[in-house]
Amino acid sequence: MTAYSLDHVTMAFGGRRRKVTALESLTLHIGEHERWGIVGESGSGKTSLLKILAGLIRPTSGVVHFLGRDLDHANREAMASLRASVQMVFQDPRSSLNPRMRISEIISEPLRSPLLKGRVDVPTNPETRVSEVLDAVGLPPDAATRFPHEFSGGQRQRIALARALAPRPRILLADEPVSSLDVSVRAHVLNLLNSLVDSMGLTLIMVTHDLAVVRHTCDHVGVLQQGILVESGKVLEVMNHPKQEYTQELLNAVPRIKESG
Amino acid sequence: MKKLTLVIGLIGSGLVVLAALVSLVWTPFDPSKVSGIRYGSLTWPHILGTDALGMDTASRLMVGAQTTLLVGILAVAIAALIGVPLGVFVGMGHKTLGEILARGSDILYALPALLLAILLASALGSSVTTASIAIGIATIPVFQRMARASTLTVMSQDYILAAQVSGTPTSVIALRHVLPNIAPLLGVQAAASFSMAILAEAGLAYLGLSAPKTVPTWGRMLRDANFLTQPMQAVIPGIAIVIAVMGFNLLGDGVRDYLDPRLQEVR
Repeated sequence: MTAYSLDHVTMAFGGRRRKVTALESLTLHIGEHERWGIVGESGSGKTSLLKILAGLIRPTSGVVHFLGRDLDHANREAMASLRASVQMVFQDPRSSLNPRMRISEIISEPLRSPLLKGRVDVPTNPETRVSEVLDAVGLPPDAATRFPHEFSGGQRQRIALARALAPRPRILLADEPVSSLDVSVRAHVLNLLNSLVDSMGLTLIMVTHDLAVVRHTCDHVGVLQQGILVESGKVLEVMNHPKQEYTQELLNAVPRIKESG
Repeated sequence: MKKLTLVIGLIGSGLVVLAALVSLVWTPFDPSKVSGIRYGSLTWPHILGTDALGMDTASRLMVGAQTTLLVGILAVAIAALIGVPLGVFVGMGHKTLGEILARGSDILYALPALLLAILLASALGSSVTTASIAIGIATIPVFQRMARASTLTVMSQDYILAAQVSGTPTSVIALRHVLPNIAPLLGVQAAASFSMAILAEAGLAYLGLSAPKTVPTWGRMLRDANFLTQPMQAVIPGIAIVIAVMGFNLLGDGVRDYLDPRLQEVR
């Protein structure tokens, strides 16, 4: 089944005079259990795409199908099913965790949402679920009673990941999930993300500017250039045989160790 | 330095609160009892003298502290209870309504408390309550703007998006995320507005737009004193007003410095 199917989606911001087109006529099909990396420079429309997929903004034109169903913002039921199945991890955990809430409150927030409450696929007991996901991301159970500022950057991103996983989503959206972290903890968080996506059978859609991250985590890649999807396909095919000059440029920008010989 | 601000603020505002509390159970003399000594000098038993009618200045000063606090509390409560919800509401979206409210608040902002007080006093009769209501209404825009600006800052944070992704209702976001994060700033604003209200009431009382002659207030005492023949009777309530205004102002500044997480990290 396809998780998302986008048909000629265009997203424009601003009024009549200064119009900025973030996405132009984007067509993309994302199957369930696939792991997509969306790459592009800043300003290429990556974040807009993610916000559309999360149902946070409505595209200017075009059709988005979510799990085979038209994603209509006016349709409460369609939105509720999206909210129950999609979670998101943000770039900077300093901004994505409310500094005045305890970790248990932060992680259980999605569980307390009226759109999710009472659904069979959502865990009912918040307390046990909080300790379950804390354990899954490798944090001690006593973390639940503490505040975000008591944790390091990597730990905070684990907390953000725990919150996203708490309501047992089917699809995980990630906006540059490791780019705000120290290089030394990036690999840890990325490996954790990988193994959790594996064990929970999630569909992953990750936005990044780092092709090395895509190669490490994803099986599909889409290349965005100024709002246009210039290339998409399996990671190995695109990376080994880029059809577009732009993709080649991005690939060249990744530092790599030369093979000896 | 930061601690000093807080300490001076605490002493100043503490003195006013103490005087008001003590005056509830004890004052040296009955504040409205006319004694034989008119224009008494600063000697025992009337340590701060007596006024033109022979009433004890020290006792009136203590009872006046009650009025001062009452005015501050009432005015700030009115301003905050109306201004903050409006500011949060506008800050969280509602563009058209926001524009209308912003313009309305500009008009109110341009209208000084004095004009409102004259208007209300002529409609309802001049009293401490009328003056407080006038000051409170005139202060609404201050709270509305501050709440709106800090709400906008909070709304740009990713934890708001995270809450929206899970379908958390807007009203819950306002109560769970926005209000707790803007509360410290609003607290500082409340302290600053508190001292502004005290000053404004003193001004209105001086003009006869607040308490009637029977109620002892500092502004009224200032008005009734004859500066030429008895300068101390004007200076004493003046000093009391200065202590109260500075005390609550510095208290607000001190608390802000104390609560600001950015300053805390430096410490």
